[in-house]
This record gives sequence, structure tokens and C-alpha cells, in this order.
Amino acid sequence: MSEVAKVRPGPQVVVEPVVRGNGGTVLLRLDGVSKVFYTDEVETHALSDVHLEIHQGEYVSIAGPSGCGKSTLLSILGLLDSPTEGAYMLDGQPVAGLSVQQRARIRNRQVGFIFQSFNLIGDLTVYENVELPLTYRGMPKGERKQRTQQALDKVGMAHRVKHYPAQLSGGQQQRVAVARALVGSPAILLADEPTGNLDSQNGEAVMELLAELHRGGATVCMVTHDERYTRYATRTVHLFDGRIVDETRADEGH
Amino acid sequence: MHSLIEDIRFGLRMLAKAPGFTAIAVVTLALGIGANTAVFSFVHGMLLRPLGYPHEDRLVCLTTANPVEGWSGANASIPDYLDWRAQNTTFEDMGIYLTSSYNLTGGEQPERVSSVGASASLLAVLGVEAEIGRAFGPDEDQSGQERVAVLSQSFWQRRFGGEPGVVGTTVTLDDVPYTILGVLPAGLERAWGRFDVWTPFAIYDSGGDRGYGAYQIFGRLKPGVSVAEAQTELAGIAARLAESYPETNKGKTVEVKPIRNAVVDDTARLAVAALAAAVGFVLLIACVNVANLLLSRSMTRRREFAIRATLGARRWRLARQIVGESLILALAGAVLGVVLALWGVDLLVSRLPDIVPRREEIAVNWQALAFTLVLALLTTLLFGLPPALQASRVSLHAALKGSAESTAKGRSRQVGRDTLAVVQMAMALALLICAGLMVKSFRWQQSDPLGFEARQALTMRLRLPSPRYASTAQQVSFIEQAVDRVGHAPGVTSAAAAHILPFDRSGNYPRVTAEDDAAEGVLRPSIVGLAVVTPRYFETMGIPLLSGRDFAADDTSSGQPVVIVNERYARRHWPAGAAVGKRVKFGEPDAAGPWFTIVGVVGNVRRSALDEGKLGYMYVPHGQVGGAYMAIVARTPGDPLAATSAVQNAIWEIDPAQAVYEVRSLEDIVANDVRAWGVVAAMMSVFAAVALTLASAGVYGVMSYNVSRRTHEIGIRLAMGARARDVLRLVLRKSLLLTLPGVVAGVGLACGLGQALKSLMYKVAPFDPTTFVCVSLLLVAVAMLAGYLPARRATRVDPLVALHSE
Repeated sequence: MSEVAKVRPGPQVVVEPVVRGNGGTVLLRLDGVSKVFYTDEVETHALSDVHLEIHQGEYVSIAGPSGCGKSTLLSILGLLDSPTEGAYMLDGQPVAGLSVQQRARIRNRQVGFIFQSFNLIGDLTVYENVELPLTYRGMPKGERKQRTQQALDKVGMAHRVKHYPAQLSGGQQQRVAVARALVGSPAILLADEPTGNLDSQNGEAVMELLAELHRGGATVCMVTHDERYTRYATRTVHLFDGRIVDETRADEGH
Repeated sequence: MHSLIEDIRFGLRMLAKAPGFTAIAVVTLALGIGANTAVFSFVHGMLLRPLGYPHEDRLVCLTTANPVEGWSGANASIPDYLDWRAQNTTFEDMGIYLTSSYNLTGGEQPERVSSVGASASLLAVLGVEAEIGRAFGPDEDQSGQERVAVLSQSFWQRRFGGEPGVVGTTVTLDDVPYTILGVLPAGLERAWGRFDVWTPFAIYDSGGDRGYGAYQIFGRLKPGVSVAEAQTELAGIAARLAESYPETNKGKTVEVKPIRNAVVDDTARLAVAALAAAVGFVLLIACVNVANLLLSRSMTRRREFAIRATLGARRWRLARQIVGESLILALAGAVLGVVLALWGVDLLVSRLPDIVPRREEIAVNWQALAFTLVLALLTTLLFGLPPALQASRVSLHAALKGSAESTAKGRSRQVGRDTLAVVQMAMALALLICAGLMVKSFRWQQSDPLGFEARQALTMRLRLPSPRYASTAQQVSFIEQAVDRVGHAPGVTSAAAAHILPFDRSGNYPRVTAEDDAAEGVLRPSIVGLAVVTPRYFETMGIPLLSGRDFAADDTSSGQPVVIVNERYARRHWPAGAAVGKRVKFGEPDAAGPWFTIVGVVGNVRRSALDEGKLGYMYVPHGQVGGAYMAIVARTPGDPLAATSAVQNAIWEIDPAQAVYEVRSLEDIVANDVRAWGVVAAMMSVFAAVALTLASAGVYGVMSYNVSRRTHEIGIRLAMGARARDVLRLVLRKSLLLTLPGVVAGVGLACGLGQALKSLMYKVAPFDPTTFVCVSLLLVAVAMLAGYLPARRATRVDPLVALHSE
């Protein structure tokens, strides 16, 4: 994993926060979000006063150097972690104060995760991995099968349903992970360095796949430190030392 | 050598660094090794320890059996003995004997002394020589010779104060003076049991009835002859005798067994074997637990081993380090185990009733300590080798990088551990089921009606000396008077006598032919139990008279021969219920003896802790057949032992020289027999409980490891929206998947063991469904509980941490 929270170095460059969407329905909204990690003697500010909106149908890339807080931001967006300060609204609802069960439910129904290291379960087949989120939703078997099949078709992995992850290449594993992320038709796909463990050819293929999903209407938020892949996004948010320092739109450039 | 010491020193340091792990491993091994040491003390004391005879491996006991009629282990007749002795070529010699007792007079009170009436050859066969004086010679078991006796060491010490000058003097036994020839060595009593006096008995005068099997026989094989060879030869001789004497010997054969079988019977052997198997299981379960602990620990030390390997350590050197640590654990476990065994054996032996053979020889001795040491070395291999092999195969690249092992490798290791857990569950379940069966059997033994009232009854033995009570009339007269006087003694409400009481460890089992065998339609003899009793025996014992009448004072030898049968015999032969008035005869249909008329039917009576009262039983009046060896039963309103003096005095009023011995309450006799099985059931239960605890700890360990290994996976699942209950279900399902194959295998194993233990069970089927189901459910519940704790931990996994943990 790429993200390691670091002790914030001395004086900061104060940059006006960029909080701007594309004008559509706001899907995610962060207001003044900070995240501080406490250890015995050190207070580590991973995120500081982050304001961010992501609209439906957007493809947002979060870019920045290693340790700038990208993955922490993504974890908060995906309800894997909670901010120390600030508010987070998902689909118009505040998520602060949600119980563990409610957060699990939202993760299951509204968020699709794609990880750098794929995070497929080695003991499950390709089919079972993709089916997993639907299983936790309590969906009937027939419907699960249909949706799993569709998701696998979409990523071109329908012919590998009985394989185990260890039997696939890295690119194929990530395609399966993408299928698992989108099988539940989530409101947003959160991708954390999806190409980090892939060679450039497979990396391009996965990025093409995400772009295709975006063109089909999916909302995507991707963390990357590789500038080459930010071009797939409609908007790129630049993070530095836990703060949003810049924003780029595909149509307007820096 | 130096490097080995270094390894051991390092091993001690590593174990000291992990005191929790070390303590758990040592205690686990101590339980397994301690239980085995304790049971080995039983096995050694009862089954393995030599009896002390020279060339004991050549000594055998000979008994008769009839496979067609389904009995074995019976005594032999003198004519059969003489034929076996004369016709065989495989024995150096044989000896015959009969245990009995004498009235010893000349002291303040008449005393009963136990005796062995033996052929002159017996002591020579056993290789026993007198310590002082001499034993009787070959011509002294002939009739017409001077009466001679040899004393046992303890009797010589007790009665004559160890005075060597006693040789050549006389001792009065049954009113007859016997010249004392010598004193036997003390060691004989350990091997033989405590008998006071040995006298030669005149074989050729003692009876030529081939059907009267009352004698025990020992033989010494010629050097180089095996028991099997002797068995084959004697079976051939027995077959010839069966052809020549079909009336008494039809279907009869000979069993040749090592002499120790005569001391500890097959039932006791099986009970000890069952306990040995039980502790074997406990030890295996303990070894699996420690092996799993070491496997988990060696995973955390992968980096250490990788560094050692990088620096040039060879595989066997790495393996030796783990084995060294295992040896330290095993030896520590053995030391603690011996302490547990010392305590446990003392406790158990003190609780064993005196009917348990060789009880006083059960102890944690040097043989048990040697066994423990061997066990410790063996367990080291059992639990130390798998982790040692695993440690020696460490993948350097992965371990040094600190990355996780490959999924396939991890999965195969997990499968290995799962298999071990399944094996543990199976063994624990089998043991639990067997213990359940034994406990259920013991409960039945305790609660099942005896068929008589054991409480408030006093019993004592009489043996009427032959010179004064040689005739049936004299015997009948004395017993009639004794019963009458005891019945009127203070504190006695009724009295009677019988030559065999329930829960006596001996019996008479003659063949009896029923005259009107409605069940079979033909005359067919069957084996029945036989007791000679006086009138009011059934009333005094509390045995219900179901139909007909009790014996009366006029049922004498001059009257019509009569018998009373038990309900089982009556039902078997006359299902319609018309047994009274029917006739039976001892022996085959064409035997010459008289017909006995059935005058009454009484309730069934249990004869031992394991006897379900299924045998047909027959009672004959003492007034018609006599008998010099009788037990007096006195029913009392309160504590039976309080009436002891009154009862003894009542007998001594008739004959002051009559010895009265083995004064005990009937309740004590019954409890003594049942208690032995209580000890077996308790030991099985304790071992099963230990096995269950260890197996549960094993499941807990496997599940904990499983949860640790799957933390990342659980994190993924939580990220995918799994709720706490989904994770709980995931882990518990795994626990169930470990348990169910264990249950299936355990039930299969228990079926086999239950069948093997069948003869130790009372009123419990080896496949008792209630026990099987209840115990299996208990195991599943305990295993699920053991799985629940790691499952709870799994629900608390932080997905963010877990996803970063790979």
C-alpha cells in the first residue's frame, strides 16, 4: 500500500482549498475534514481541512506524492475510516454517527472498492469473489448469478469463473476486482492506486476499463500518484501534505 | 556435542522468553504423560510384573472350555487332569490344586485358615522350594500317608512368631494333627495370594468323576515349547477324551494360557487395556496440541530461521534446534506428569476394592519412570518433528522480505492443521462416548434392582471340618441348628444359609435337563447356576417367591427331591407359567441321577456387578444334599455388623471349635464389586474430560490461527460490506466444518471401541444411541464455543488495519 501518514513538516504553504464540482447532483461532500493519527508521542496530521465535492457521473482523480494523504482520504470516502474533524455527507446524508452496521450496509450498497493489491480472497474462485458483496446483501441466488455474470462479462473475465486468483495474472486479477466493485451497482467506485501493482500494458487496460465504466455512467474516484493516469479523469484533485492544493479539469488543464 | 549444548541452552532461553507458551505446552504434555504413567503403573502392577517364579514364561494354567455351549475358563476334573498329564509330550509336568480352608484349633478361639490342597508335583512345577524345612515329596500325596503340611511365610510369622523350631511339630487342622514339614518363601504369597497352609491331597482318592470340574491346574512347558504348541497338543488329547467320554466331555476342550492369566482374569485385563487405550488417546491429543502450538510459533520465527539458514545453517541443524526445544518441553512435561501420576496412583489405589487382583503391586516404580522417559522421547518425536521439518524448509526470500507465504502453501499448512484438529476431535469424541457408556453402565450397576435386599443383612462363612461333619446328616443337623440359633439371636429377625451368595466370586454351573421342555419341544440340557440353600433363605435375602412354596424342614434326603428355579429358567422352559410341578435332572437326559420336582419359582437375582441375571438359576435344599461349606445370612433391623458377636456366639454355642470367618455385611460385598467399576468409569471420565479440554483447546488454537491468517481476508469482506454476524458466521462455519468430520470419525471409532468393551458393560448396548447423540452434541457445543472466541475477535477486525496488514 502506498499511503503512509507522515509527521507534517514545518511551515506550510497556505493554499486556498479547492472545493468544486461539475455542477451536477452532489454525491459526496467533505466539509473541513481532518484526520489526525495519534501515537505515543507523535501527532500525525494525515488530512487537514479538506473540502471536496464529487458529483454523480464524475471521474475524479486524487493525485499527489507518496504520503500526502490520498489513501486516508479514500478510506474516509469509503467509510473504512472516520474523520477526526469535519463533516462528510454521502448522497445527501451525514455519515458521522452511523453505527458499524449502518456503515457496513452503505459500503455494501453504495461503494465499490478497487485496491492496488487487488485484495481478492485467495480461497474463493473468481466467481465467488465477485459474488461476495451480493451475498452480504442477502440477494437471492438467481439474481446474484445473473449480476455476477454480467459484471464478469463487462470486464472480460467470464471465461475464468472457476479459477482461483493465484491462477490469474495481475491484470486479470485487477479486472476481477473491478467486477467485484461494480457488481452491486454502487453509487461510486473508489480505486486506490489500481495500477500500482501492474505493468504499464495491464495498467493501461485497467484504466481503459474504468474509463469505459465512467462513460457508461459510473462515478469514479481514483487515487494515483502516476501522472499518466490522471488524464482519464474528468477532474484531478492534487493533495500535498494532507491538504488539497490544486484542482485540474480535463477540459481546462491546470 | 558443544553445538548440541548450545542448542539446548538457546532452547531454554527461547522457552523462558515465552513463559505462557511454555507453561501451556508443559501442562498439556504433563496431563498426557502423567495419565499414561499412572495407567502404566496399573498395567505393570497387574499384567506385566513377573510373579516371581523361576522361568515364568514356561508356566501356564490349564482350564476347560466348551465352544459349542459358549463357556470357557472353567476348572477341570481329576480324571481329565490325569489323562492330560499322562498323554502330553510338551509339558515337563503338571500340578493340580484346590483352595479350601481348615478350622485351626488350639488357640483361644477357633480360627479359619485358608489352605491349598495340592498335588506333590505342584510346588515342583512352580519351582518353589521351602525356605525352612522342605515341601512335600512325590509320595506324600498318596492315601495312607502321614498328614503333613507346609506353612506360608505370613502364617508362620503370625501364628508361630517366625520360630524355626516349628518344623517337625504338629498343627491341628479340622481336629486332625498335621506334621509341619517346612515354611514357604514370602515371594510365593505375592504371586499366589495369601493362603496359610499347603497340604498334599491324595489325587487318586479324591474322586474319579470326570464331570466334576473343581480343580485348578498349572503346568510347566518343556524348554522351547510355545503356548500355542501345547495348546494344539492338549486340544488333540481333549478331542480324544470327548470321543471316549461323550457323556461328560462332549464339545469340551482345553485352554492353555500364561500363568498371569490365572491371577488377573480377562475382564480385569480388558478394563486395564481400555484405560491404557484411553490414556493413549489423551497423549496423542496432547501431542497434536503441542505440535500445533509449535507450528504456530515456528511461523513467527520464520525470519530467525531464514537468517540462520542464510548464515549457513543446514536443514538438519535447524530441525535439531526445534527438536531440542521439544525435548526440553517433553522432559519438563514428564517431570510434572510423574508428580501427577504419583498423586493419582495413590488416590486410585486407595479407592480400589480388595477384589482387584494384585492391587498392592500397583505403584509408580522405576519401570514406570523408565516408561515415562521413553514416552517423553517418543512424544518429542510426535509433536516436535512436524514443526522441525517445517522450520527447516523455510523460504529464505519470503521470510527475509517479511512477506506472507504463498496462498497455496498457507492453504496446505492449514489443511494439515485442520486434519490434526479433526483427528483430535475424533479421538476425544470416541473417548467421551466410551466414558459415557461406562458411566451409564456403572449407574445401571448401582441402580438396577439386585433382586434381593442387600441392606441390613450380615453374612459370614462356615466350613464344617470333615472328621466331625463328614456325613450329610451331620452337616444338615449343624446348619439347621446354626440357622435356628442365629435366627433367635438378639438383633436378628431371620436367618438362613446358602453355599453360594450373590456377588460371590465363584459359582457352580451344572448342566440340567428339563423334563417337559415346552419351549424347545425336546429334552435339551442347559447350563444353570446352582445354590444349595436352607428354608427361609428367600425370605431372609428378600428374594420374592413368585409361585409355589419355599423349602421346608421336611425337604430331606428321605423325601422327594425338590428344587426351586428362578423366573428366567421357568419362563425359558415353560413360557405358559406352569413350571411348578415339572421335573428337572442334573446332567444329560439319559443321566442316571434322580428327577427333582420344581416346588417354587423365585425372582431373578444379579450375581455380580456385570451380571444382568440372565442365567437360569436353581436352588436345592441343604436338607437333601448337605454341604460343609456354607454362608450364614442374618437379617437385622439396624446396622448388621452390630449383630456380629451375637451371631458368632450363637454358632459357638453349638460347636466352640467351629471357625467363623469373612464376617461382612451383604451391602459391603455388593458395593465392593460395583465400586471397582466405579473406579474404572471415573478414570475413563477423567481421561475423557482431559481429552475434551485438550481437543477444545486444539480447536481454539486452530481457529485462532485461522482467524489470524485470515485477518486480511476478513478485512476485505468487511470492506465489501460484511456485517459482524456475517464474519461470525464465517468463522463458526469453519469451526463446524472441523467438528463434523471429527464427529463422523469419532462415532466410527467409538463403534469399534464400544464393541471391544461390550463385555465390561452392564445393560448398555455398545451403540447406545442416547449416549452417542448426547455426547456428540456436547462435543459440537464445546467445539463451537472454542470457535466462538476467535470468531468474536474476528468481528472486531478493523478493515483498514487488516487491508494494510498484508
